[in-house]
Amino acid sequence: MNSPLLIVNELNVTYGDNLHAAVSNVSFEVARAASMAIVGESGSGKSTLALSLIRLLGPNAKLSADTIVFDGTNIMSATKSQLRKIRRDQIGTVFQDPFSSWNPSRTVGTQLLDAFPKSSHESVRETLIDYMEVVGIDRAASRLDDYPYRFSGGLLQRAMIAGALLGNPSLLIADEPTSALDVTVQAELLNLLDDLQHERGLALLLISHNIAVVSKISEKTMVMYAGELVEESSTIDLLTHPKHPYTVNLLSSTPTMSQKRKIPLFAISNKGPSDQGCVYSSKCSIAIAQCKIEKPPLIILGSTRVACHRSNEVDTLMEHNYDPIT
Amino acid sequence: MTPLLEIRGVSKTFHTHGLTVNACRDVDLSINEGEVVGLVGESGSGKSTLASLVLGLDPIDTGSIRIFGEDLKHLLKKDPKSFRRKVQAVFQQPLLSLDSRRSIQWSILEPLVIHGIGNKETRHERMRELLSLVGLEPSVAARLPHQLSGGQLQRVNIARALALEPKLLVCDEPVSALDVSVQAQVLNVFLDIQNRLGVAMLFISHDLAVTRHISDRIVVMYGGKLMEMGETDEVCRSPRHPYTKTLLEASSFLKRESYTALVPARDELPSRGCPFSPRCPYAQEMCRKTNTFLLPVDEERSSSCIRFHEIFDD
Amino acid sequence: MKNLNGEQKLLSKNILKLKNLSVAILYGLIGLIALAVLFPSVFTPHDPYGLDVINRLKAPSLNHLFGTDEGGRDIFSRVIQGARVSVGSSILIVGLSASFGTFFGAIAGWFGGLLDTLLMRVVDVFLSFPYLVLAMALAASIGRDMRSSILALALVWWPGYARMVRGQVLSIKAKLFIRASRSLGATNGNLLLWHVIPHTSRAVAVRMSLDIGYVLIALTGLSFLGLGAQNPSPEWGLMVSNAKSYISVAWWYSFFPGLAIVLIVSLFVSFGDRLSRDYI
Repeated sequence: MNSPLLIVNELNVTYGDNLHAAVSNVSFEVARAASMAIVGESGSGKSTLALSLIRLLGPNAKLSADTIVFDGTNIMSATKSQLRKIRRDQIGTVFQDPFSSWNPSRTVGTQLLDAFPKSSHESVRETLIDYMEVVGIDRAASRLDDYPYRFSGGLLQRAMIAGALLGNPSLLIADEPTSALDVTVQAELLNLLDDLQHERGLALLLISHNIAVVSKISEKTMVMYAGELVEESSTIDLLTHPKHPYTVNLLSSTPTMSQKRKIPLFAISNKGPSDQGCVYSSKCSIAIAQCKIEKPPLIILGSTRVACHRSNEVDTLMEHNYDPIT
Repeated sequence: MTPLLEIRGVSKTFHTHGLTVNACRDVDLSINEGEVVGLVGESGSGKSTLASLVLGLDPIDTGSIRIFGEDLKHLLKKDPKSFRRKVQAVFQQPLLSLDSRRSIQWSILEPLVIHGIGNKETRHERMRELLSLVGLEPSVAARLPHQLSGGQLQRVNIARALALEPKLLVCDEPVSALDVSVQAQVLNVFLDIQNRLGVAMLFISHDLAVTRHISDRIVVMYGGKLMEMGETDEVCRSPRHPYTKTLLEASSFLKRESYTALVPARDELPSRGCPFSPRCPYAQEMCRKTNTFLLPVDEERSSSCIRFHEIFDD
Repeated sequence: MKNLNGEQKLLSKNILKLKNLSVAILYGLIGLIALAVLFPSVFTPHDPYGLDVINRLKAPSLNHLFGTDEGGRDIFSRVIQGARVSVGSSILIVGLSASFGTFFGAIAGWFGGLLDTLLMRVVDVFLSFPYLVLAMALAASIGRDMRSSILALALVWWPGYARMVRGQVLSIKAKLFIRASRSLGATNGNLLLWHVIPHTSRAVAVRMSLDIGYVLIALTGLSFLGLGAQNPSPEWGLMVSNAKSYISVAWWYSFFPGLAIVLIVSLFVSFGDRLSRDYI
């Protein structure tokens, strides 16, 4: 079974009557048991993209795609009940900010069992306890009867992961799972996700604004800017040889543990994304006339996909003072 | 030379909802004029409490805080305004730090008006100076906070804090709520003003890479106590505390094989011994029994780890 | 910043924006009322106090739109003039209660502790007072006229503001911008006057709009009972009271002043409700 687990083609999301799309013509694939990351700042569309994969967008969002196929099922044409089954059994989701994702007036156990019919609750509860132990929650059985306030952020996220695993999914989507957590807890949680991916053959789609977080466990990374996919590459290649000016700039503006201290970081300009041509051309230091008129297509350079007219010159033309790998 | 800020044996305990929280315990820290000291810690480390104490917004329980040798408690009682002119703050939430009903101009003029500095003209002149110092256009002055972006707002807050020409800026997670690219801009502003004005900073953050970038010295805090202190490069290259080592590993772009895993532990802090001992992979009986303190281990270096010479052999 | 969604509209700046027709109508009507209160003589075709006994208790006609009362006085003119008395007094009462109540509540909420407890007990005492009893007591001691009614109602209405403002202040006190101003060196006075009380203005303004309606009912009620305005004042409640004796022969006499009360109260309550929905 070597066909990709998830195939997405030309996915578009627009909110209300906004002219600028939240997600614009994004196409990508996720292989089985692969670990992939989507990186971007706020407004890049990464969270919207993740939610649209399981059609969990709000009522004023217009989703259109040429294809969204998950394990043979066409998500775009799936019925409500088919979708519910997929969300429960095949695609697990972990959301950001554990503190606001839970209903404070119901126990953790009841909330995790919500998606399952009452008749199966007993057996599902047994499985849930097993998974909670797998994710490292002590005394899982009694913890299920605790309310969310008795859990720390890290434990809440672990509980959410346990819940996401219940249906034995083949894909786990984690949207900023560690942003609200301490750095040390974050590291533990990422290790857990990494273990789950390797031990269970679980495909992992990790969404984050933090490249350091992503670099630890993702094999491939996609970079998004203003709703568009600008670069996709193996994580190591992305960090050492970025091919898109935005990626270069983003890396240069991130302080790392090894670069020279006390010098000004690269500051991406404040101008908004361009309406015409390449979406990054308004801020790009190597933009030429063509960039402002013609939208660059995603081209394949080795194992990288990049949307830039000058991608093969990026290495030589752009200054970078980052050195992410210690 | 009298240090600008001297914190000696400071402890602060909060009593809320029947619980007692030892937010800060036995903190010793000094900052000299023009120095940038980065305070790194996670949630519950006590770093924000320490910021409140240094700013005089909360009273200390034990110990003393001195500003240029004068006790903070006395300063606040006898001449609070002169204290405020020496120590200023920048907080984590750029939008919430400003009164939503007041224009940017009003907010920047506020400190000048409170302290009766200058007259209407000179104050407006100073405001324009401050805006340009932080890289903002004068047109920003007439706007309301909700009309500006997070990066612009944080610059406004920096401008406001600098209005009184303070000697010390206490920055409590000033870039944590900002996007990476905006964070870079604001960090550059901090670097720039430090360069130009020579203002000392107590830069508090949970992000070690950010703190490293801006600080001359780093202080690591955990569970209300100081774990390690030293010159930035030294601490980052050769840590002298297991917790610092963990932070370093978590902050770098390394693959997980290089991590030293922490012991999974309950959230409550131990009532005695090293606060990190429940999670420390090197902890032994004596770590859990002995109350630890920051002690000098080298020139300009201190650590509270009693086993550091066994663990770190470089 | 990850999510800059705060769009706090300033009540003062937005209050003048006409969002749609219904709001425009509300504003228009209130404007008219304001004019009638301020310049009644512009709208009165006859002298509200002018006796013309020959034409007493005449039905509505072109000359006397609302008919005449037992003294031959034009009821339409009296209703207009009465706006100044009834609505004007209500506005005064609400103004007094709001100012005093805001100040009281702000002090209690800001300083907290024992002061707060004491001040709130005072509020409780006043809240438990039925205004009718108080009005009667005051009427008995000061004398029966608008002064005693206004005083009685103001004394009974201010605690509501005190409680509301105290609650607001408690939540404002904890906000970051207060902490930020404090670290700049702002004193309690600076903070209360420049930041805290202005932030309560929105809630207070909305409550005041609603209250003008409710106070008007109470005030006209007191006059109806004979405790407030006295003859020959064209106060609406008093007019309805006077009309009692002539109900079988002159329906217009109680009808039009009563209608004025109902309409104006509805107007202010709708306005206040509108404000509260848009701005709170």
